[in-house]
Amino acid sequence: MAVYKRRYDPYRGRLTERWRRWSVLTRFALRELFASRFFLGFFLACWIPVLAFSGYVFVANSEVVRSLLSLASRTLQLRVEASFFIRATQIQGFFAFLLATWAGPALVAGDLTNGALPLFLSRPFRRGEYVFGKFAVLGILLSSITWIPALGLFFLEAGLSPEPWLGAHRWLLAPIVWSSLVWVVLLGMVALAASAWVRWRIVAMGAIFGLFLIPAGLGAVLNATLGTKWGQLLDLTYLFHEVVNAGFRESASFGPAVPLWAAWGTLALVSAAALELVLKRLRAFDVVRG
Amino acid sequence: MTADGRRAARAGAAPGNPWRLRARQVGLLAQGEARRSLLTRRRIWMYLLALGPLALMAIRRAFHSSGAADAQAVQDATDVFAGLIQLYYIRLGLFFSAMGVFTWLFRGEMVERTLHYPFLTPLRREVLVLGKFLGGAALVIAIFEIAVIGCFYLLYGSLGPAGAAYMIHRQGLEQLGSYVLVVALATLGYGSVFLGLSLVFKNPIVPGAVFFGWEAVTPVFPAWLQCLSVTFYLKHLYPVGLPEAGSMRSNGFAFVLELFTVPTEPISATTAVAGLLVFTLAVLAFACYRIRRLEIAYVTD
Amino acid sequence: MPATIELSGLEVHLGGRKILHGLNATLDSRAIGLLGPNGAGKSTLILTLLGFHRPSGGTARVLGLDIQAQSGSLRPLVGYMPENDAFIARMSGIRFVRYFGEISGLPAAVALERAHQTFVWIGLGEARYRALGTYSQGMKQLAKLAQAIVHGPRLLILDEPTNGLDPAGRKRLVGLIREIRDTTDAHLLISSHLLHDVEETCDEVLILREGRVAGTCNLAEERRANRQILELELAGAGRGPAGSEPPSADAEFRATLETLGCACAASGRGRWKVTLPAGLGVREVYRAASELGVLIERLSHRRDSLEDIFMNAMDQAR
Repeated sequence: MAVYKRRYDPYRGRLTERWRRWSVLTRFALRELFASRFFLGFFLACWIPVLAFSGYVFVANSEVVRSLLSLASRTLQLRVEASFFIRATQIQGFFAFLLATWAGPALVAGDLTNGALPLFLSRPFRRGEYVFGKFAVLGILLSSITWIPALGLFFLEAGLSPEPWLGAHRWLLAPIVWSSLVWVVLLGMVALAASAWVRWRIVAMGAIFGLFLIPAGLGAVLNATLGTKWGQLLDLTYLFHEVVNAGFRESASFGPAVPLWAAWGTLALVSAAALELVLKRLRAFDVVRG
Repeated sequence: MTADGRRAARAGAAPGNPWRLRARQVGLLAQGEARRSLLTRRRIWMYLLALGPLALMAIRRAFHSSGAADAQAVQDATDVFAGLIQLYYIRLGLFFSAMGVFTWLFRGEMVERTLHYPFLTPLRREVLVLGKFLGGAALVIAIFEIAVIGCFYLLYGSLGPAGAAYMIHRQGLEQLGSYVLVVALATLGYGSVFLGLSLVFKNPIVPGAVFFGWEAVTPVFPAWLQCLSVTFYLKHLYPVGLPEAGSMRSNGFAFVLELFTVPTEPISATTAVAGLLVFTLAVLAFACYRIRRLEIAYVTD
Repeated sequence: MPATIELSGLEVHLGGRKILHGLNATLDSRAIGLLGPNGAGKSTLILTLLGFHRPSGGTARVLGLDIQAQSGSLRPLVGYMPENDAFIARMSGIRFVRYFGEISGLPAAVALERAHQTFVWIGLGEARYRALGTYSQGMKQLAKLAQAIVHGPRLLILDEPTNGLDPAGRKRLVGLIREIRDTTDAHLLISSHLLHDVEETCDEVLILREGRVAGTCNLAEERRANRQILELELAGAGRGPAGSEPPSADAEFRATLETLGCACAASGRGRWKVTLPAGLGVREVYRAASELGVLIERLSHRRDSLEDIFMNAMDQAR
């Protein structure tokens, strides 16, 4: 088959496996995102705190460096414990929020704006695969700056620690992974929902920002006016922090707490509602009722 | 916009004093813009932002007993009201509403590919900027003033005779008057900034987010940099200081809220009002300069 | 060999309204045209065959596969070119076609190669690296065709393919469709308002009116059958009004033709419509005229145009 022949040839060759076709969407979307220098720079900037944390781990375990930095003489204790990973998870969670806000809005909106959805759905490709393929873009991006580097920090500490650190801290592995995964799923779903329902990227970005900031404020107003603590359920950031603290067996040092089950339930509910919104929007054709 | 633009252009076609004609054109444009945005589904979120606390106050009034309210309860209500205005309305509700309304004045017309219609009418572009700005401002101010006054009434009204006495007492009315002024000035300040940003950036949300951060951190900067912040001027018009800590605080924003309460360089209320108006006019002048050089490039995203 | 499209009592409700009313038809040609006025249900039928709308009654089979029960097997065999704009504005043309090639199951390298080949074949080779958002309407139509054929489907569904094209673009697109029909074993289902396009590209048409089948017509057979119909114009035309007695020579000529087995109908002013029986050629007609001294001024094979067929179907459905 050659271009110069200038003719149409039917294709009867080998086809790829159906189960991995969602990855085409992911691959193309990632390549498109990284084609932007701004995005590449931003993505690399998200790794700066990780480098700082790595430096901390290194200094905490190196007598030589500590003495060179004159830290040994001080009473300062550099410890890599649960609180260290909480801080890392929260900071990287903030960067994940920014990354999702930037990368998420164009994912579905770009296909909806010019009616490309029928082209996907007329092929051997289901809505679920479409959503999974698009979600995987954010899943990969956000994971690569949250729990994956956190795991790296964990093993860095395990490797550098002169004491038998790994055995005593093995339990940290689970909260490192799932506490970030909760946030990744929530951000991914909310960003996809905003992208599916708000066709204009500008507005979708504003909507994601607003969704995380404004309900939190409304929740605070609700707490203040009605003298309750349930307004905290509107503050998704707070709920994430509470889930992270509980996962790392640290008690929250701030604010009126809502029960852990309520925090989990709200995060799950918001993610599920966002998924439902995405699926509802993904129709090859809108039917006008009347 | 097309019809408003045409009407405004027709007003401009009449002979006479050009300034009077321009004023009339501005009025027509503002009227059209406000009417266009007033009752559309697109603005539901703004009504929710403005009227959400009002609904909460109504619930509070319905369920709280109004019998034995004392001076402490009035003081608590004053703190709640201060937090509501200074933290929720000014920092979030009004901020995001202004972001939505004012960035959309021109950027929305670019997205919807209709900006060439007003540009093709025989109107000065500065007139277009001013008309649209005033229309957007009138809409936002009206909705948020209703919300603020309603919250004030419901909050103190739920405290029985003590609350009613405070409301009609000079102190209560002064407090309400200050907040009404603050809301109007905040709308003008934020609105001008977002209008300016929308004429510079293709995607004004990112600089808008930076502006959100800037508004939070300016108190820690030198005085001359603080002048470039809207909340710097507003802080000097607040009748009541924010409570040090308590129920208004949310853990997710603990750090940001701390920044919100950092005292700024002291200036008088008159200087604050004048300063914010000058700030608004300067940004609007910049917007007029930008729009004269604006070339329409409709984007696909 | 299963029929290309088989509809049995197909009903579709959308938005609380019945759009398709129990369609029944068996269409087994390679290139099928779908005709009907606006709102006849053409696009709804296409979208139903693609599985986008669920039938509320009846069934349909495409290439022998049930559109509901076997949609998983059917989808890989279909290529679809929608009526409306359907593209990703920021993508280059070549990337767009490759993307959909890969989603259809082509391996990445094959998808890239076929995307280039398809783009060159449709005549957009020079524009393939430009963003689709910058394409003209005609180029967008061609790009839509490219994405529909990149994976070499067995059934190509084209919804109003020549919409918004200038005459040159229309001619080019029709030429491409005919080339697909003539050089491959792919089946085509083409929905169009433009009878001429359908006539040029299709072998069979299904005519819809208000969600019902107004008629079907096998154009290939019609073309063959219509070869036996002649239109004659005799010298001295205009001798009398329609229905008036013809001159004696003409009457004799008519009687002779009828003796030969022809059916004759005078349409006035010396014009006749003559249906020849099988085995009788034009030569015999000329011979009879010559023997009777009748001068034939004009003789032409007259065939019913698709427009006649369409208008008849519309009239009958009324």
